[in-house]
Amino acid sequence: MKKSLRTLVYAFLVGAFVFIVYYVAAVVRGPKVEGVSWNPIVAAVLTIMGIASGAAWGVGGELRRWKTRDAILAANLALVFGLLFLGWTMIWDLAKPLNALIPGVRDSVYGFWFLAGLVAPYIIRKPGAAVVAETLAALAEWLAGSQWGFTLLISGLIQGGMAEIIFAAYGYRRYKLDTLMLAGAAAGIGSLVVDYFFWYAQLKPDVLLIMLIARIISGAILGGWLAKVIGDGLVHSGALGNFPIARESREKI
Amino acid sequence: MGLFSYYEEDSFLHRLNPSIKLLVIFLAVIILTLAPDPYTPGLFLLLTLLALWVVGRVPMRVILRSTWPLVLLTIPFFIFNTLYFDLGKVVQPHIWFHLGPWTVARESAIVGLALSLRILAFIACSLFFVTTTSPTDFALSLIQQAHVPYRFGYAILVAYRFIPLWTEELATIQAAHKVRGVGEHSGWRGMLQQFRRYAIPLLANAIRKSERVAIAMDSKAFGVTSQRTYYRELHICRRDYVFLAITLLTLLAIFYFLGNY
Amino acid sequence: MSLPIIEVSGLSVRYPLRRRPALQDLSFSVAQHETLLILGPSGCGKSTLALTLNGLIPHDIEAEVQGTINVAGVNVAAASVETLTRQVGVVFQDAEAQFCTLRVADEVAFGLENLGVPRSEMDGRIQQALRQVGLAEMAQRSLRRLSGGEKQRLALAAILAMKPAIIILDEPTANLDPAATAAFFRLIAPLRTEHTILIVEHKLDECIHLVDHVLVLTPEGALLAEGAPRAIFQREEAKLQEYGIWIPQVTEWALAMQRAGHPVDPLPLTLPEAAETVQQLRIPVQLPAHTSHQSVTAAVPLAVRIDGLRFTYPKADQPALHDVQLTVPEGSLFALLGPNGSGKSTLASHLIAIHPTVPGKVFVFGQDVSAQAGMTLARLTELVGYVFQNPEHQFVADTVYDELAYSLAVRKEPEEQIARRVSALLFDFHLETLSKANPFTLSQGQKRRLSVATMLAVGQKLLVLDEPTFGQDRRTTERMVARWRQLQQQGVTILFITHDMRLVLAVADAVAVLAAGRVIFHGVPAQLYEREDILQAAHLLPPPLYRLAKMTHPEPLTLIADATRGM
Repeated sequence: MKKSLRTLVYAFLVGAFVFIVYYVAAVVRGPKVEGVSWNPIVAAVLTIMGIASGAAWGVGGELRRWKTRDAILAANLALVFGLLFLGWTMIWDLAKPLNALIPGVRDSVYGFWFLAGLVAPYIIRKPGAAVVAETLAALAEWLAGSQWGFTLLISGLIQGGMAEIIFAAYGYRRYKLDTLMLAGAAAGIGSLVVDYFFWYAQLKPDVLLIMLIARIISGAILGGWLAKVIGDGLVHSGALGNFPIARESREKI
Repeated sequence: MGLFSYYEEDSFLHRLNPSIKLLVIFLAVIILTLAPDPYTPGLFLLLTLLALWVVGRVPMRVILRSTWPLVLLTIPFFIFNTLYFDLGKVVQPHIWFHLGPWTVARESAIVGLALSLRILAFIACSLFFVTTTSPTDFALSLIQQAHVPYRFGYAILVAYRFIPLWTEELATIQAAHKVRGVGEHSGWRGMLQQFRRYAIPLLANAIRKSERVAIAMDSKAFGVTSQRTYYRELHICRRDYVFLAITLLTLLAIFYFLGNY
Repeated sequence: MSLPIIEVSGLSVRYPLRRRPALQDLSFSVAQHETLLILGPSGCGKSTLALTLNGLIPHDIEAEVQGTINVAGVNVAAASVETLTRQVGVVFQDAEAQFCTLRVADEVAFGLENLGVPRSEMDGRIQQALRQVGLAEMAQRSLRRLSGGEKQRLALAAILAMKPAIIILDEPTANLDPAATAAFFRLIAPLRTEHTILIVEHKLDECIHLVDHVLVLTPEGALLAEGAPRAIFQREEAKLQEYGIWIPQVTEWALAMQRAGHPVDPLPLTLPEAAETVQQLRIPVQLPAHTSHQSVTAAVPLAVRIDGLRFTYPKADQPALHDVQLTVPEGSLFALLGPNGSGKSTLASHLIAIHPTVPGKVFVFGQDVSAQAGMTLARLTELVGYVFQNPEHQFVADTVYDELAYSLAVRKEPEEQIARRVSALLFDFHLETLSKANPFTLSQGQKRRLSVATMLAVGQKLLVLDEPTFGQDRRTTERMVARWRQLQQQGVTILFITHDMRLVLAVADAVAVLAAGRVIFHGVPAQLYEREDILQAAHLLPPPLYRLAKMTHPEPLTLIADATRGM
């Protein structure tokens, strides 16, 4: 099966499966299953988590085909970003404790956390790069000691999976600004979905909507656009001479 | 770098298989997420830290030093969740007071407290994992028990080895920019520009080092034979199952007896 | 001569996207158990050759390869990477970037695991390899606690455990201090009976005695010459000089003697050989060294005065600097020496107030640099320029022009004045044609020139350089020294951190030696070479020519001042 198709099919199948299970539990069997009632937000959240983890599952097999160089690079990029992410959390939290009072402010910088899962595929251009880099960045952040703990790993996987779907939808061929911005936006949706699951289930729907919009925009700009700026900056630095990204410029050195 | 680091010791917790620890943490996180009350995460938090101190023989000062900054950070989280709690779901809220556009009720404060304790319980899980798991064992267990492709297991080890290098390099870049007369920047544009100035040389060097390590590894026949052997083999033994059972039973018992307050 | 173990014929390698091939039509052969030295200017494809021989090119790294290579009887193009990596082991330059585990024994085990060696055999092979490099006691040690020299020995052990027929050493001592370099090559000598060894190296003084055969590459990656070392140095001296390739210092001296009409035969390569030559010729060795005989403590105006500086890094148990006293005379070329981790960079960074400094300890041109004493960052950066080891760290702009204009623009100087100053700097540092280029895309030499130029933009009178010759070939080093002389004439004081004793012998007016955070020597180079105790503590060796002079003239030496030769 074509690699991109495989990612998308897995995403669709797992997403559909999760949706059907929830639908059956909540609507068809209705009150018989205790405590489960139909909630459209929950339905969307579970389905999106299913789609993203399906995509991650779908590209899993590709990882055995990676070269050592790509694996090491993905891990190191993830680590550097993981450390920068941690710094970002600290600075933001310490400088703006009052930020907690206004929803959406924090979310508007969220896109920064998707950089690993966007810069890595932009450079490496292999199926699975988004999932691997974002998950490893989350691992680095978790192990270094983050307030979000183990949930970060799940966030990383889902954010990476959402971005992966966009790269797959472009057939793992097109890596332009629009691809990156869409992937960033998709990761933004994925991030809120996980946060809803672990933390925000009690919040008012309008607050959630503001957060969602903030994360999509932030994912597209602070994630996608910034990833392109950084990736292109790295091409100029000459460090990527042996990677596919440099071939695009077609400029002989 | 970071608040947590491996604490070398030879205890029951240190000898557990890292993959089992990960599985236990994953299950604990799911159970804690399903528990809506403040008691379950609260008691779990205390027990985890106690186990880490008594069974894991990690000194209390290490535990406190790594956790107090994170404890402070849960305060804004508590405020946020208390203020934006959807009171519409509660039939008869016990309202304490109004604060501008916000209503603070007993129910919302309890939910805020439960969520904040949940964060702290998650932090305790992370601290337990990091202080008692040697990075080498972690990577080997990912390969040998969790069936992560071995290139990625080693990639994680390589990345871990490089951490001091990046933090040193970041400090050097900061110093180098200072000598150029680059001041601290404020505002959005300034911050982004500053970030780019730091990120590009740092990442460029990370890319070069990655390539070099990969070439050195491949030169030593990495990944060329189908049957790789291991100098150190990790196994899942009886103590791992015992640990799995004890932790989950304790957690479920707390949830069952205290969760329906 | 036994059968060739390596046979290369008509080898050309070209990387994708590169206009020029890295190697061109290269043919040579290496006999079994022979030691081959590969020489060439930087960027001539020496590392490419190493990776072609072990099959990583083109099996793992994409490149176009023409010609045939036979290694230990197998054709590289047809053989699998597995077969090749069993035959060929490589020790690389960058110690940090060739390990992938955290402990000594694990690192040696890594190669064995990859080859599928049964677990029961591993401990024996690991112990044996570690014994061969003198690390047997450190099997359980964390890699983080190894010194640079120990790391390179470990890299060698990891290769030895895999028992390859051929060992390639790709600039293994580039990051090592002189004592560690000598120790590393002492390990190589006994290996020559069992292995065929290929050495890529710049520092020939320490390894030339091991070499049977020399291969010289041109900057284009073609073969210039091959033969026995003596013949090559005799025949190709002019070309080697043109390409910026170092030759052993005593050989260079002997060639100069030949030109002066002395019959030197055979050409000496090593110190003992040179000593014999001196006996035959019966003429004293004149040291082409540069030195001023004025004492460093004389009452001259001072560029730097450090007065009892103590410094401990946050969270460290040991102070990094203990009561350091140091004076640097104005207008001097001052070398700061010492082993890795002795506090050289820490000390130098106090000149730019990177660390919080207590007032009354560090003075630059008589002014206290601590912030509490009222020194602003803007003022300090006008006094001191600091060039870091990696020039990229200092770049803050997108073009060379903006890079040079940056410090001036920060000071809000008028536009036309900036333009004038920048074009003067572009001219002085030969960067005129590159003013619109992105600093990151420059060559290594250009990057270094640019980073020095940026540090002189606002008229700094003290220039601090951290390991300025690191990774530089002879030609760029000579040009750099010529530039220092120019700057010195313009009244700039230059303080440089280095391991390079040839550089010190050639240019330094004064030196200070640090060991474990203390200044253990402060004086002129000639005095330093007399102090065996200091040299040993600082892991230094006097330059070979100095040792030669010492061997043949036991009484204290007078150095003659000649700034232009001897590099």
